[in-house]
Amino acid sequence: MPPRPARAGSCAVFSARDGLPAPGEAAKKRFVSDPAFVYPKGPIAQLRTARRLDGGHTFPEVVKNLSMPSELSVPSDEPAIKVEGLSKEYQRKLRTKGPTGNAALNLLLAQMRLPRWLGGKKKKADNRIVALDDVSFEVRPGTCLGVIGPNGAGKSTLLKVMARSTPPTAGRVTMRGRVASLLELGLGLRDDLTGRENVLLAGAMYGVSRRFIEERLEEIEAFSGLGQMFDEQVKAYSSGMYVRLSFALMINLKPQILLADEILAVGDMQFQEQCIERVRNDVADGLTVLFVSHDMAAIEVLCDRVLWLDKGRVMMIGETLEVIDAYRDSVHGVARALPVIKSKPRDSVFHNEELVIAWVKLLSAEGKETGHLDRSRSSFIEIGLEAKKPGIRTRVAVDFEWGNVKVFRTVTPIVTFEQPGTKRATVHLPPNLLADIEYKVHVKARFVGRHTTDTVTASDALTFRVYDDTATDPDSADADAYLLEIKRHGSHVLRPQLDWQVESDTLPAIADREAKG
Amino acid sequence: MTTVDVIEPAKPQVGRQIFAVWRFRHLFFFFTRNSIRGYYANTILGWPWLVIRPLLPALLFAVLFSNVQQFKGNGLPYLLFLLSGFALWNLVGVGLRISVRSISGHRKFITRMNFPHMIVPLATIAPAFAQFLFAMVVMGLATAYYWWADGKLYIHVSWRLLWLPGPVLITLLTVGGIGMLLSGLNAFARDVRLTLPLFLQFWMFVSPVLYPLTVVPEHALKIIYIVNPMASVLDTFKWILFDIPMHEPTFVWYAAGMSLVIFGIGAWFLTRLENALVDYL
Repeated sequence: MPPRPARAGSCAVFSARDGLPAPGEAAKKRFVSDPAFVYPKGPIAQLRTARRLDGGHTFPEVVKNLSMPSELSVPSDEPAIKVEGLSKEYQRKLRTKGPTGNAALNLLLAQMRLPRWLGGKKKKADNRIVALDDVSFEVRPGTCLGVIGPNGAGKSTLLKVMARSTPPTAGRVTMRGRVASLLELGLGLRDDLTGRENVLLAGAMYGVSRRFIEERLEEIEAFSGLGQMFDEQVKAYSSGMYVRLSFALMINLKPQILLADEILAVGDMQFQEQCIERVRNDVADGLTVLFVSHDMAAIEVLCDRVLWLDKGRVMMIGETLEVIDAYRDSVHGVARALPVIKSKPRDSVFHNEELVIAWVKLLSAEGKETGHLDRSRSSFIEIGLEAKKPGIRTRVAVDFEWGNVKVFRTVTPIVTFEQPGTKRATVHLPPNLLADIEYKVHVKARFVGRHTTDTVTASDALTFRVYDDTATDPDSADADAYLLEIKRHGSHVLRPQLDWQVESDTLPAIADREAKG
Repeated sequence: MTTVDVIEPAKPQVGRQIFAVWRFRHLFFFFTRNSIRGYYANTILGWPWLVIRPLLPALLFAVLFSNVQQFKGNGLPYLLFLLSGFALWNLVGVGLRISVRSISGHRKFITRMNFPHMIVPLATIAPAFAQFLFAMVVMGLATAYYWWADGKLYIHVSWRLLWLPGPVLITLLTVGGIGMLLSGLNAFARDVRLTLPLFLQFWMFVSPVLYPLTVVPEHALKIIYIVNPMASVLDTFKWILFDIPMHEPTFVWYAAGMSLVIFGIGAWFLTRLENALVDYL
């Protein structure tokens, strides 16, 4: 993978180097010439590419038994998936105008492409629904590309075309490697057979030899986690078990390209994590994944890059966080280059008759209210508390969340209001503690009044994003960019800078020295 | 080693589609096995059905028409005549009944997987073929019974028996062709499925299944042979088995040619529908 451009915060720097327009416009135009798609130039980048692609152990081993045609090997820096000008149109089904009065018959006649004198008629453009409109992108081997967009954007159509279940109207897709698709889970599973029998039978369906399946049967059984249910009839399965069986089967067919449409929607938490782990491992081994999902947290964890489709067009392709941000902004109807603070207004309703959480603010190091942070700099969370009655003692807990993960909680000391009034509690967030992800802040105040005890909750009080601007140095060579990249990973919930000691190995270890006093 | 896969807009060609059936033969066998399993799934009797199905109608008609002398003028026990006729005819009847709804029934596969769709109606004929084989076994047992009872072996044992696959193949091609045509039509208009039993009933009455062609007046015979290729196929089938004289042997070649034409039309039709089935089924 070539050095990546940074998140939104730094894309101005990057595009300035490439002579691209300012950040706002760059976001719109990125899909035209995506700066991240440069072939490896520097020596280290080349080395990395080579390391990733060479030899048997990084790419899944080539299976001889597969009946699919195998070609000569291709240059390894070819993209695994190349989509050029892909379009797909559907004809409107209910056409009452046509040679006959019946819609189904008209459709049938149109499909027969009969000459005009036999009732054939030219198709009219207004009878068409455009599902994909001139879509072009590339995916490099060993990448997970997330595909996001609103319903009806063409995500599933794209995957269907790539899985060859429907032909495109125009354009071309080139895929290098064996393709497995998880579009319709449970396809071809027979109700009256057991899970094991179905797995063995599936080999016949996907054109894989029985021996190949038998060799992987144990692995499939273990991965599916079905236990005794593996030997029960499939009709007794719950929908989650269906998913487990299908996913375990497909991922163990050892594809080189995996097309997955909303696979995580049905499985339970444990299985979702297991799937994500497995896909990430396989991606590291060279698997290329196209992952359609509406679950942004899953996309953030899994995907290196994201493609945003809307109304069949490519809106944007690029770095995961950047595209997700842009997509979120478009959904919320906000046009801006950077996400702005989403805090609740001052006169919010987080109150009861005695205590009010008046405001929750994120402040930058300069003390200005902000919605995004540079992770290498200090910041502050400020909470306004307003007591309406005298004699109130309270403690306020501030919870930081990422997706559904509770990252940490910090609690104020006891705040005492002798008289009604307003107090401001501020906490310092040290630099280099948070990771470059989006945090949600919930605030909860528990208080004891003269006559009552109660809790005031401001859930979702604040949403902010942390950026890592240190990584991209426009003048750094490829080598440094490569080294810097190790720090950057979107899926950790914290990235504290701890005190490392590095020294030559000839000295006794620190622990030993301390033991001796 | 990497496989390279290029997807482009395609207007499928009949010839290529037929070759593709060979490439996807694993799916052909998959559907074959599936439909045979499915045909007798959840039955209590299980395999005896394979014997009962051909035997019972033949016995019924044998009793029904036991007094009609014209039907058994060729010296062959009427039951054997019926068993052999039904064996081949059911290949048509059962085969079409299954394959007409095969495409609408395999909607999930057709809209989600890539393969030449003519595989579906062709492969789902399999239960009919299995039934044909068992019907032949039943007929063999009946022949053995008559051998024991009458002391006469009715099957004409000679090199001619090697021709037996001929009429079977012609029947399979015909059924396959009509099956492809009807299953494609049925995907768009379910009227086809409802009309089929009536059509099959009529077809059986103009085929020499219940009666030998000797009862048909001479002037009508040619029309039957021309309109209904199965007439001469059934005739030939019985000529090979029992040495019943044939009226117009040359019409077998006409039937063979027709079966190829029908198969071709069916294949062409489904090829034209290939893209439409995926998007509109």
